[in-house]
Amino acid sequence: MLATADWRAIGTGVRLVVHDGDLAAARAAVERVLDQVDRAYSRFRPDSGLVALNAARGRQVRVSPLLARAIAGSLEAARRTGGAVDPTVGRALRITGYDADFDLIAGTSRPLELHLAPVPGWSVIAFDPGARTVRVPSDVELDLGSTGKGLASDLCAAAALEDAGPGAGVLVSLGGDVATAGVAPEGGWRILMAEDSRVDADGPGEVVAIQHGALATSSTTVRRWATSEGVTAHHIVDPRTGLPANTPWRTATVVAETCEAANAASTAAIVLGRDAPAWLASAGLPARLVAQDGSVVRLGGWPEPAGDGAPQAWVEPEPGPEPLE
Amino acid sequence: MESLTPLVTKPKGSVGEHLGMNTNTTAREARTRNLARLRKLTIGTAALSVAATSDFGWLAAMATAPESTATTAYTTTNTSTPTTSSSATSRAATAPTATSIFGPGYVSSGGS
Repeated sequence: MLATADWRAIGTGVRLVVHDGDLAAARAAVERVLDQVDRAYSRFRPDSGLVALNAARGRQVRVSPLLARAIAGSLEAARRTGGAVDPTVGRALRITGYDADFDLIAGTSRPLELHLAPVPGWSVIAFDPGARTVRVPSDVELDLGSTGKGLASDLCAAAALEDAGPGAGVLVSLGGDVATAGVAPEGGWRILMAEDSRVDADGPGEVVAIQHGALATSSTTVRRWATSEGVTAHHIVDPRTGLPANTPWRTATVVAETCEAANAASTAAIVLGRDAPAWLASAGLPARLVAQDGSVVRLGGWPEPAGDGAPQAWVEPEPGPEPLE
Repeated sequence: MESLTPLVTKPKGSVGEHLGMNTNTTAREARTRNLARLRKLTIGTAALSVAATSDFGWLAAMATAPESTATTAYTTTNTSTPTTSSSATSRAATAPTATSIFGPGYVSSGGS
């Protein structure tokens, strides 16, 4: 039996689906994790560990285990993507206009000024995982958006599973970055491909199912804002330029063993642009890329849509024959 | 947070780490290498308190190939393994398979 809960946290929508388990207990676990994530690496609360680290002006500081884990993941993602995903984009992201929770930016009526800031590159970060010490140069700001939400999804799914009870399975989506754990329902965890993760999950469109692992989508079409130069900016910064990525992709969806990895790969795909298919192939990751003209590229075994590809209406299956006595 | 005197392990590698954004490697070798790395990049942490005490022992399993520069900076010797969920570290070392199906989803994945 499936039970679902929806709410907002860390500036995004949260969906928790529990299969044969205790939804209330699972939700409480997810809420605890998200609170800890927010305190560890939110860029938008003044008391977060990440904000304090960015304000340390080059001093070496010891960080919490969770923040250290998040930084380690971001550095590993930077290495694996050749720098397409880079945690040192924080300053560039902030001065392109993403300097507050996106809910606040979206509500502003004035265009934001577009400024350029070079991205220093992840190798400037001095990180000792054993001691949990980090030194960020004084002119550098970290942002963990390319991996942090995926990591949070993974941690939430693990915590939810632990509290959901034996034999349960869970799915946690944070703004469309999906992590699963435990026993999948029959047919797998069903995920609708969409431009916007706020779309109703039983709406028309391609649906894929995974038995385990994770799936993440990066998009340039949702978190967008106008600049005073008349340029439409979005939140995925290209570390090579310090500007929102000039990309042929509207969305990039990747399946991976963890949501942290999927999150990093989907972001990298946006940044890499036309080089994304080759990189995804080398990484061995199934992916679905939607181009600016709406055409779809399926890679690494990503399935063709069921049927003729047209959006399918859900039809209740016919009842089977009566069982024999 | 404590402020310590500078003596840290700095990730190796040249400044300007964007040079690697090309595919100038044998595709098969790169795929095998990347799959191995992805295999090791698992979470499997059932509780944050476990993560806090494990000293990221599971990160010790991450790639340590000679060409791996930054990871050598954060490979630990702690071999303890945090409690894992059934889905992550015990799985086969390939990306999960997605299958196309009819019908509604449980969740939507798109921009956020």
